[in-house]
Amino acid sequence: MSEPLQIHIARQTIQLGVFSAEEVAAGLANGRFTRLDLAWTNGMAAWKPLGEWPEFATAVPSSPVDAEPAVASVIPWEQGKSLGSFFATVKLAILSPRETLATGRFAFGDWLVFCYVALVLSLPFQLAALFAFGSKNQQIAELMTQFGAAAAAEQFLATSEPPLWATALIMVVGVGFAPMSYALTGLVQWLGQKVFRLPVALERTVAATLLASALVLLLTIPLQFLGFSLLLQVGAALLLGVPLCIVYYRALGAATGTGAWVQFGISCFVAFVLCCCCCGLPFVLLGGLTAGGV
Amino acid sequence: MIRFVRRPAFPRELNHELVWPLAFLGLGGAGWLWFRTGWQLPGCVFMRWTGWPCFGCGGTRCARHLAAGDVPQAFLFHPLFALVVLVAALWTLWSAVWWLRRDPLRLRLAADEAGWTRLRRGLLVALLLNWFWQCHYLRA
Repeated sequence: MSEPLQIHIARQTIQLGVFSAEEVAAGLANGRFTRLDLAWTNGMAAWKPLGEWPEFATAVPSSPVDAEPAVASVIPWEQGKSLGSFFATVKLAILSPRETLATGRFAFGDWLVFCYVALVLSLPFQLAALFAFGSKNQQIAELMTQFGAAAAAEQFLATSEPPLWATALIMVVGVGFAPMSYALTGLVQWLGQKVFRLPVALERTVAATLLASALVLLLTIPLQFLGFSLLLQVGAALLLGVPLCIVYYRALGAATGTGAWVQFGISCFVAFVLCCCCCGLPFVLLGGLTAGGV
Repeated sequence: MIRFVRRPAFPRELNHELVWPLAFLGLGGAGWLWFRTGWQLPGCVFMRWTGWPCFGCGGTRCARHLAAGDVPQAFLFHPLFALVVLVAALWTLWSAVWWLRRDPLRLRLAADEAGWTRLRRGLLVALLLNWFWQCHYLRA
């Protein structure tokens, strides 16, 4: 007996699964699949849109949605990779994210490269700050002493500090896998979206996170020039905190087609859940309250 | 139905033969360098406060033993993490062969809806079993 036809279906960048011919025909009829969805079965050399399968010619409804051409991306980075398109994208993503980012395809590979470019641009400034201003441990210890934690400051200074070259090496190696950590943030954000039943594709969320992280990375470059004073650097970072959050969530919201506040809420939810699950926040809070005599 | 199939990539499909091996090699290299320095990571706050291991407890020790080539001991500290690293290493090896052969077909896991449900449940059971083992081994 021959095996029933197993059809693999993909939409945009996601594989939807494996289905029987009957399931595909029913899916086309009820709108689960569209004629633009790509399909492949054993023996085919390439994927073909379902609309071109003779088996499903009768099952494909010619809906007006299918007939409309897809909106082309107006993001310069998705139209061509160059330093010019990189900076044009940065400018548009900061100034008018809703008008531009919503049209993006947001393929992971495109934005992984974008993130690497931002990291490579930021690296020389970080290295220069490291070699120009050296380690900040002494300044951190002084701050701790000012806040009445002299014993902790002494203990902090006593711990072995990696040499400058090792820190620089970690920075350079870090460029290699930093986008992966941003992507992981995107994955967690996507899980948060799933909880709130927002139908945004994983790849789009991760790619949008890479873009938003790259923007923040670029905008914080000038902070390296304040490396001579930790207090000044922290103060400037705090002052910039809110504007940076606005840039980050506006870009993330526009790219995922949801909204800045929605993404901010999801991040808060995700951070809270993560803190509860992994970092024992309730215990820390409880400990703090007990210690404070509340 | 869950099985492996060899099929062509569809347009704009993530290049799994490039991304995951790069991530594995990058993280593996960074981890190896980190362990060479001898610096320590802070202990798990969850374990300190509750006395029970979190899902990640033992992961660093597992990685440390893997970096030292002591696979059995690594497996004892965090079986699931060791297994993930083993699968990642196998995938990297497979990807290298794939690149060398310039094969137009990609190896992919294919499953119908029931298959994906079984896989999700299997993952959950694996996490729980791993945690029971962590509770037994790490608290001993």
